[in-house]
Amino acid sequence: MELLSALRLLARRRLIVAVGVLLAIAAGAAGAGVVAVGPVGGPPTRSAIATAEIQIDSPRPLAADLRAASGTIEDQAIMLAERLAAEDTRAIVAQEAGVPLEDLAVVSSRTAIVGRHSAVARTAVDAASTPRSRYRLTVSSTTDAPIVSLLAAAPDEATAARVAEAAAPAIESVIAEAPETVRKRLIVRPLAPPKTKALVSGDRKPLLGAIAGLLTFVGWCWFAIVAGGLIRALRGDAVPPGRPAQV
Amino acid sequence: MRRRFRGRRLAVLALCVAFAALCAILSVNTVSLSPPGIEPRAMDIAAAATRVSVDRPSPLIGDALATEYDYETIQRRAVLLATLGSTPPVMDRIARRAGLQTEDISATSPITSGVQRVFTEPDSERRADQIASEDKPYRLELRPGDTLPIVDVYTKAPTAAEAARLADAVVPGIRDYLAELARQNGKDPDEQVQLVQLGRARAAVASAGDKPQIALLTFIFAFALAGVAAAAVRRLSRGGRSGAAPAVALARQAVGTAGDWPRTTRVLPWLVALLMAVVFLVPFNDIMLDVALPIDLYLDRLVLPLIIAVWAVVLAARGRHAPVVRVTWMHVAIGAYVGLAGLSVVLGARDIHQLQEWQLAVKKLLLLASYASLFLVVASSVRRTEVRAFMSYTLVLASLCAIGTIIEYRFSMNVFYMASDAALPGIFSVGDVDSALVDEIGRRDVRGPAQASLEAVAMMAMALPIALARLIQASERRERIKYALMTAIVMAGIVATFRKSAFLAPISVGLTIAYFRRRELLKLAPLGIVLVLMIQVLSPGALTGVAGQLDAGRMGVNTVSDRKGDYDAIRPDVWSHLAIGRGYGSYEPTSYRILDMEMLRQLIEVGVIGLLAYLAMGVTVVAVARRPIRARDRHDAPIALAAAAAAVCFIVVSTLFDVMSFPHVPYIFLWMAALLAVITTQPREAPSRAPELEPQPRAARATTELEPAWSS
Repeated sequence: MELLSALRLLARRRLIVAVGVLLAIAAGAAGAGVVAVGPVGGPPTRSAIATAEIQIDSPRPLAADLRAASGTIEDQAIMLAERLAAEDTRAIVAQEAGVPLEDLAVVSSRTAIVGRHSAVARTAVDAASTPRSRYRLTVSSTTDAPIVSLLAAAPDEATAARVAEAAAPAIESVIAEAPETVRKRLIVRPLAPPKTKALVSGDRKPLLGAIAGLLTFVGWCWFAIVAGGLIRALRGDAVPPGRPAQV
Repeated sequence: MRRRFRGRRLAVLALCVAFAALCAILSVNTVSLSPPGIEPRAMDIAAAATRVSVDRPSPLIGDALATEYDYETIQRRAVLLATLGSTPPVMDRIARRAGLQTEDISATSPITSGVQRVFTEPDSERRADQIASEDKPYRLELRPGDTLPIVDVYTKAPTAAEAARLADAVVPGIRDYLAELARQNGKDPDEQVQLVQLGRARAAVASAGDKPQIALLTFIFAFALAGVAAAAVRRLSRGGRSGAAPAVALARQAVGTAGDWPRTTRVLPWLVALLMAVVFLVPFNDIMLDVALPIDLYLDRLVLPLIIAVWAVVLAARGRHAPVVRVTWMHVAIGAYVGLAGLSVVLGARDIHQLQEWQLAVKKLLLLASYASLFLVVASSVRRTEVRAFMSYTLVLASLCAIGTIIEYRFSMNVFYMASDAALPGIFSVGDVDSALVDEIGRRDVRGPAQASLEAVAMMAMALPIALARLIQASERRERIKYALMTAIVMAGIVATFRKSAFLAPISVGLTIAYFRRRELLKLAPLGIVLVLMIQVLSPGALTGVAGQLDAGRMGVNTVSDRKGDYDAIRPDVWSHLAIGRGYGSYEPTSYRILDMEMLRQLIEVGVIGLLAYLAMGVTVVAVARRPIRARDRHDAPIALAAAAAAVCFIVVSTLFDVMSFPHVPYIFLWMAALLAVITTQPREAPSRAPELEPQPRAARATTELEPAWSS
């Protein structure tokens, strides 16, 4: 009911509404990806991801042999996953995957979840979790099972798969670093070949465009009415009570 | 004459803008007079993070026969190294490696071992030490893992390169120290623990958006301050008389058109009713829109902006049903508190920014402004003739809230979460709740639609006086039974939460009502016994359970001792910013200390002046309510009594938990205050008919449109 006054105002100011319509069309076109405006609506970019899982196992397979010792295997898996981020291990990943070392970032997902207790930690974690690298390997591990999950991102599917596959030899090299005094070494078992998926960003999104257009139009009309009211209030214009004011 | 008036108004506006712009420029720049110039302040903050793995010389990693004991031993060694890393001998070496001065670095290594959080929170001595080193340009935090031999390294510096350099210097610095220690003790450094840095530190500038935000916020507050000052001067020059607006407003709201809620087609009352239903029945603070946005879109943050947007449009369009803003002392008190909160942030902007709490403070400030907006919207758009209906509606909602809480207590299922999950589309994610969960002192987590049990207590306790006030006033037996039943249901819901506050909050309500209506309450004393029995039937065992917690022998539990510990622990924060605090919303409890009392948090964030303003919000409600209560009007007195008791309850619960962190509570308090504002500012009138529901002849409609714009 109260909104009728606002609608009447707009009905009398068709030019403002027309400008709103134009803006809405522009915003809708940008939102839908038809027109390039800043980061929105640029040409589609293609990238790929690959996912893989590696099981850290004892010499006696944990799944098959009940006598296998499993006391610290989950902790070992986490430590090995974390070691993938170390400089020497990262170099092995880069070499195995055939990608330049300086373009490869290895990020532990634990970095993002650990240490959110202070402002410094939060800011530092945010900084560390978003490296701008062409190739990226994200490593996740939990205390539930001795399994390291890998998510590799690269410009194409084949490279993403290679980066994900390179993690296993890199972990093996860490295990092999241990001197001969180590009694029994852990075993690295890739659970399956990496699964890949191509990603296309910047594709046309008509629904997003429609929402952007609608919101722009409503926002513009809202702004026009409220700004008109503010200007009138500043001028000290007296409006006959009951009559809608001019925009 | 009119033109001169307009010219003067524009000149004042220009002066206000110029003053605000000057303040905004000064907030982010340094101005020198000789030689004249403006230079941007160095306000950039960069942060870096890396991780360090600690292992034995003969590595555990990869050893299939490593035991849990081996890992525990090396994890403890990691804790030791992290702690040593923040001590002067190691800091000297880290600083040397990073090319910095030790005195420019503040280093900490928090306790992470498996003890209760309350034991790891800083006491007053440690907090004083933290405050003393807050202004150092470099910060290093070494956080050992709680189960694994890993140390997280976080640094802060003016530039990203320096932050990364400092983080990368930690491992060489500790190694230097360990090697020197080994040499002094005649040991082989190769036999010491091995440190492996898990990748070079990654750094980034963390405060890119803060500077324009500081300038903008400074501009807004300086402009608002100048505007208020100009308005005050104008009012004084008129001899304290207000202009014609109040008279027009009073005339406009004398007769209501378009019907009264709920028989109305006006949008605003319905939107407000929707928001209150969300507040009482939906766990909105645990429901988020599952869309990647820079802000967390909780359910109330979708409804409230819509209400404010509609209100602003209707106000600007000035139609027949436009809201009329009438300033009361409650407006002044709430405005003063919001203003002081904003001022504390603006004045402390540079410190808050340095502590990297700026975004948090801005977010909290916006939230506070949105709470205050609800008060403004309701007080200006609800009609006097609608207040009783809205009070009844609030009571019904509170009763439904209580029934749901009782069901949760008896059957361990939270109907509010279940219903929200079932009703909302998949784009919303509803949080999880385990109603059978028990805390460290054996109390169940019964919380109703709230995020915490105490919040549920406060919600229902603030609505309880509506039932009590009506019970006192009821002359017919049917009405008495109805309100007695509602009182019992709400009380049973409150005690079902199994918290000590379930006694304290209703007692504050009862005492307030007793203060104003002693005789009437005494007459209801026999009913009290019936009420106790009904509560016992509705929530069996809860009443005795809560009473048992108040036993003197059980007062040493953590929830009590931690509260007592807070008083001493916050002294350094209070004394360092006594008058106006360190800035509203800038005290992140998880970073420092979880304070179980809103008053203490207010004292830290907005200082003594801000705390007084916070208290003044509640006190003003009681003060404004006094006159209608004393007048004993059948219509106004119960409303005023309910609002006054809710305000006292709000103050009391502010001493029990951090109420402003739980939005249900301020929403309900401000809702009740706004309804009181409506009855104290709008003149009495007969309830209006709903003309728009009945078809009118065209000529009659045309006449109505030319009539004065009656207040909605």
